[in-house]
Amino acid sequence: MSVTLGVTLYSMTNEWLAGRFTLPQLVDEVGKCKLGPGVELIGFQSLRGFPNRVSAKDLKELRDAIDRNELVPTSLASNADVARNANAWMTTDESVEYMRPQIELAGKLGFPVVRTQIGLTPDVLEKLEPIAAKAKVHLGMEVHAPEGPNTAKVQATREVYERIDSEWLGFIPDFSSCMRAIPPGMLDTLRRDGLSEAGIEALVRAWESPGPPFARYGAFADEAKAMGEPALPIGAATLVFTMFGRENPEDWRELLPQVRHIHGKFYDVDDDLVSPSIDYETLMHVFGESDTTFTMSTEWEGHAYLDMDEQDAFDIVARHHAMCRKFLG
Amino acid sequence: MTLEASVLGDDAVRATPQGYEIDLHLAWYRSLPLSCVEDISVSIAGATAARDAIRVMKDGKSMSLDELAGCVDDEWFVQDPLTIVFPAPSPLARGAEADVQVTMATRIPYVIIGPDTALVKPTRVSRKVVIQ
Repeated sequence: MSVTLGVTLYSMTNEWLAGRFTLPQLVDEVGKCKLGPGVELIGFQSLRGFPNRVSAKDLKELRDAIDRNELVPTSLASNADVARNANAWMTTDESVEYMRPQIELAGKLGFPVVRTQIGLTPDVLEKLEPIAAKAKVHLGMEVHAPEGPNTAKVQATREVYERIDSEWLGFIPDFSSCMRAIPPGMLDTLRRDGLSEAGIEALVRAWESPGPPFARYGAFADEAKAMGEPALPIGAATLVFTMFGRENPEDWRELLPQVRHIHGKFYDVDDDLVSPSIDYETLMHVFGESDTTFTMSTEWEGHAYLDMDEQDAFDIVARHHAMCRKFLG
Repeated sequence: MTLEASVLGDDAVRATPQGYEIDLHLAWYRSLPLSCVEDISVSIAGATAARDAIRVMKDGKSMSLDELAGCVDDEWFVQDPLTIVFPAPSPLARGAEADVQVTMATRIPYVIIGPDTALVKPTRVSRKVVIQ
């Protein structure tokens, strides 16, 4: 097996927002449910005061919880927040200083990878590389829907990486980029919001048609309005085009040498251990047959449209692990 | 949908001699700086307050909504409520039921949707609560 399983605590967003767990309690629950060994978290979600003002007590409690559950830190997700001041977006140097403590804290906590997001400029990346090298932390830029391994923004980053030529710069494929269907649960939510069956058909047709996501959404919205569909599901359907990409899973092969971690994004796993919306059989071949052993965080994002009482995050993450094990052999 | 589900809890609205205090949660999956809160408006049993009459309480400080724009280093932790002070001349008594509507505009500072444009997420939550 050349994919090591794990989980991102982002999968438990509903439970976290509801205040059901403190961070050590959530890590304990992950351990108890055997959802490791890998564990990933989003700094700005899980840690109060991230990154500069996290208390020593909170850091120690996190490390202790990871250790007592025999989990392995895989990735700490960062954010660039360039527009935190509406009137003065960050300059290059301000961005570097905003990212620096996030990278350094990852190193201190033993995370080998910091998840970055598309949008860090070439100048910022160039200045972050020595900070990452010093902290011995890889920067993994997440390739997420609507982007894919060959879309323009990712191509531009690949060119910058080629120029800087550092082992500390890489990518984190997120399987939202390469989906084969709109998750049935999302369609049910839109039905509940009032979208008719004819509206669902128009949505699926637009999603499956060629072209940029916003143009496809526009075509759907125009058609749905003309059909007299209600405004609420028409608005909510933007998620379908921004969250669910249609790139080819085989295209990840080109990025394999630069992959530092994987986001096993998913929405659903049926009783036969198949995900209707994402072709995990192909994906596990693409990544599982590589010479490298990759870490993969199971990342359930059905909480974007399902509440906690509709789906328990721990159960569906366990089911995702079972599916991945089946395909990895 | 689900991020909205956590915004306003069952016991989020308290009567005070001057009006109400309301505990709000972020409608996002991660913490944000207070500078990203562009607007909050509240209606309780049909009563509304002007934008400049609403105060936001954080760490013992009382701020106007306009002052939040400068709070780039003040974190609204995603599990914590933010308390809003809402003046009302004759607030409902404790135990009364009231329809509450909250709208928020929250800038997502890393979701850049165009040149010099970050996503501003609109949130609208309506529910019936019992005044505490």
